[in-house]
Amino acid sequence: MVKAQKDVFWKALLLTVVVFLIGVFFGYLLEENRVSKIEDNFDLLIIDWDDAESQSSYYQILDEDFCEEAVVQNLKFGDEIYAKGLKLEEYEAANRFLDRLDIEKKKYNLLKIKFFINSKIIKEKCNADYEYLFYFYSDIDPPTDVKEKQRAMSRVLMDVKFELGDEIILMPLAADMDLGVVNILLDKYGVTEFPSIVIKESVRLDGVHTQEEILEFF
Amino acid sequence: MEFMTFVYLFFILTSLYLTFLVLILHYKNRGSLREVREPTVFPKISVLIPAWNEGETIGNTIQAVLDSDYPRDKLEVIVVNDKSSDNTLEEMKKFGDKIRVVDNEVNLGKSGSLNKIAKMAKGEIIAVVDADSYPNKESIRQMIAYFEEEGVGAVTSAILVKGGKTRLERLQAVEYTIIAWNRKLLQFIEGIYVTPGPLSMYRKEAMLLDGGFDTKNITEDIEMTWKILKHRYKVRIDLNSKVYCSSPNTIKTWWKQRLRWNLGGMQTMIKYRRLIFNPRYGMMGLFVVPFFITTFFLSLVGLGVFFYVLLKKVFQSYLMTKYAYISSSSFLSVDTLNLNANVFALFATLLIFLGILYLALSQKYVIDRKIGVKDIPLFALYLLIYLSLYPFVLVHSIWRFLVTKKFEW
Repeated sequence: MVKAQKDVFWKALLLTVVVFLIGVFFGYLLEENRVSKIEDNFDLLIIDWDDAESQSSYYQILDEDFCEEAVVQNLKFGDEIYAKGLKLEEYEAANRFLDRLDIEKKKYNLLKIKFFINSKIIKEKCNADYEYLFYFYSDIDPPTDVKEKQRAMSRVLMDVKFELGDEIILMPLAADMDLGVVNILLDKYGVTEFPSIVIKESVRLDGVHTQEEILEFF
Repeated sequence: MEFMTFVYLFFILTSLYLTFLVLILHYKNRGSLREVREPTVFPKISVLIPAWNEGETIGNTIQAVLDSDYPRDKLEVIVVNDKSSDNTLEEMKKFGDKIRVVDNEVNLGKSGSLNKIAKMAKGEIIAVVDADSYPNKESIRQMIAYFEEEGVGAVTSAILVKGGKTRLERLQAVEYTIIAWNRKLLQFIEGIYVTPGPLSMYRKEAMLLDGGFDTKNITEDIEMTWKILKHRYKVRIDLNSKVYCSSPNTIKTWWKQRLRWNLGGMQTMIKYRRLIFNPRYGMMGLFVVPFFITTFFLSLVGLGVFFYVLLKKVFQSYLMTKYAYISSSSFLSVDTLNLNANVFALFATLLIFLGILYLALSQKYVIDRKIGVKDIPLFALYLLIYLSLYPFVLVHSIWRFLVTKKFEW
């Protein structure tokens, strides 16, 4: 005589809940780990920034003959900050629970602005010949059309950077993170739609453009 | 957290629950899955074989039944030719007085034919065998032993695929084995919800309740089982009793078969919907009907989610291509591939592992087959492609269900 084994329903439920919670916990841990990695990287970036800023102060105040080294260090920091930005985007895309890394992004954007100001001082002081290429994009849940335009433009700008190397400083800036200094730049260049690029702090191009179109300005 | 993350997690939770339910049932009952029961009494059995244009197979089916090791004097074989246009009747007549041949003057359909000959049957147990199915010689004898258990109204067997030359047949062979194993496990929670046509046996009094087979239902075997469960009879399956049946060997015939199964399932679901969560009907009300209805809706929601994600991806790909073309940039780049693991990757790995375990156990316990590396392509095809066809057939079935007035085989 077989009796219906109704206890299996509860046992399966219990096992499911336990396994599910363990899975969610590990998933959360993975994301926490990524976020803390970003934070650690950011701390290192801050140290690098302090170093770069100190070097530039040193060159400006004490040793004007070392302009060449100041420019090199500045550009090196520019590349580093750009690479870290890409990593941040990649981690954010993989996360499911901690899907917004707003604070890290704000810190990162501010650091880029500081870097811009510093590189501008060096440029004037040392008469450096690099130019700026601002890339303003929407970060907080942009419409699909804008998202895909931005994806295309990111690739174009990477190609432009590859082509021009140290001749330009590429400055990708999230435009909708409510940062006062970014808003000032948006007003200054009249940016109202995304993606938008500003070449040599004077020419604004909205939407999608080819590498050749951009290179014409250099 | 995004809304879709909740949706995915819900589906993961449901999949885990159903998988663990089956695996716990297996673990608890693994010693008795292939238990061989020998009958102590041999009641009279009437084997009913309805046939319509089955000239190619009917002869072998009748022979397989006659080869049964059940005492010959206790076995009555009644075949019915349901107004075939081929040589079915001639094939039947070749067996002379070993069997009883009924020739319908008008086509009554499978259910109608079975009801007609069931009334002529002298056996207290009725066995139904499809005209393209071939039971093993010991199947009937082993199955009959289950009727000695109190309250058993129906016993079914392990339905397996005959042949398996084409890839589609091999996929169905895997599927049928899993179904047989699942069905055995469902027995332990009184949840067997179908006694399939290839070989099932019924206590005559249970089978003839409410007028026998429902002639309006196109899956008479599902409906019959639900009716038997509704009347608080038990349903059993013997995994040692095997019956081999022909299976569709083209996608078109496979699709048609599944369409029929789904349509019949829906007819049955609607007929018995009021039993849901009604404890008066035991596990029929508490498990079978809710399980059927829940999986039906979950499949639909799952398909909706699938289409939503697919269309979103298609739209994104269109825009990506368009803007890549406008900007003369590359269509794909390394940054498109994000290989960072997340919670879904963890659960997907776990579910794939459980899926393989599920497959391996079913193969081992139903057909004594150990799976190896060589089986990976077939199993991958089964898990990734074959199973994903189910919801599409379901949508087609719902459409047909809504627009069709009368259902036919």
